[in-house]
Amino acid sequence: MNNVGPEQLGRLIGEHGAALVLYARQWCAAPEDVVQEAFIQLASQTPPPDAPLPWLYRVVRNGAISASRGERRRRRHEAAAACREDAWFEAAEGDRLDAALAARSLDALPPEQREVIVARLWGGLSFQEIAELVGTSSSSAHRWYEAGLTALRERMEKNVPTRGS
Amino acid sequence: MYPREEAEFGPLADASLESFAASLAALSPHARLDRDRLMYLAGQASVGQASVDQASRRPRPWAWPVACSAMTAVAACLLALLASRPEPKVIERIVRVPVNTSVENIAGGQNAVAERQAAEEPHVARPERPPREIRTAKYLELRDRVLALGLDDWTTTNGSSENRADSPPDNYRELLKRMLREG
Repeated sequence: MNNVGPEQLGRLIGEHGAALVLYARQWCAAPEDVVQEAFIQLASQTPPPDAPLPWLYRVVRNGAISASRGERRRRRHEAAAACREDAWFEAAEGDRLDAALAARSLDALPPEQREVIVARLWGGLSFQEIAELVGTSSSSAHRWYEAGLTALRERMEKNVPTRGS
Repeated sequence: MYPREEAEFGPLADASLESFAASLAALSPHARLDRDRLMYLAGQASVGQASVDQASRRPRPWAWPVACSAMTAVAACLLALLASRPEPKVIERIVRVPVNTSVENIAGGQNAVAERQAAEEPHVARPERPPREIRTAKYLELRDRVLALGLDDWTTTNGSSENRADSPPDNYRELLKRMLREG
């Protein structure tokens, strides 16, 4: 069989599932469903994609945007409220940053900057892969990344100082 | 950072921004993914896809019987058509071809044919024949001689050119003999 093997699939879910959920959360209220559908779609791909991770991000992006359109049609306000209520990050003792504040600040960023930061920091994609995903050049992706990080840091420093040292 | 990108973009201009990015990346995204259920569904999907692929590759057992039945039906139809085909009708028709039979056309056509033949024939030097009256007179003379003297005498007389004094010699020897004989 030429599908993605169970070991590789399990590793992808374990290492990138949460980041993909965070990535999909930017658009829709049920990101887990979108990510689950993407993994199921990956498992049924014959032959599997050469680069499964960028492929997953692209499928999740398309699925999340499509789901957000459906949600808008059905219940525009409820979806937005549900998106805001879900926690983006899991709070842990060792974190130097406040997870809730980081989520709020991230949510307030322009969409293209937020998308690039999430794909870069938690997805681990290269700027070239991000550029192909978003549909821009790698230099533009890098510029958005740097500008987004600067804006995010300023926003977080303005609200609450970072934890720890 | 990826090696190629490190060469292309380099580190962020602000070193503290790199530190902030590292701190941000240390936050764990919240996800309520049921890993076991997801693995089960993915496995089910991959098996379903594999069975679909196998089914598409498997030879269809009904294909040959269906093809055979279809061809038999076509053959039966053609046979029925052949048996019920009516005899072909013979239709006689008189076709009138307009022909221009005027005298000028015929003469003109004959002249044209003669000219064309003359043009097509190669020019060959033909021996000139004597006129018809002379040939007729010679024939009558020959007939009278044969009737009077007989065929043998005519043959000897006609066959030796020596007895014919009026005929020109054929070669110089004959000419020499004649001159010696005449003295």
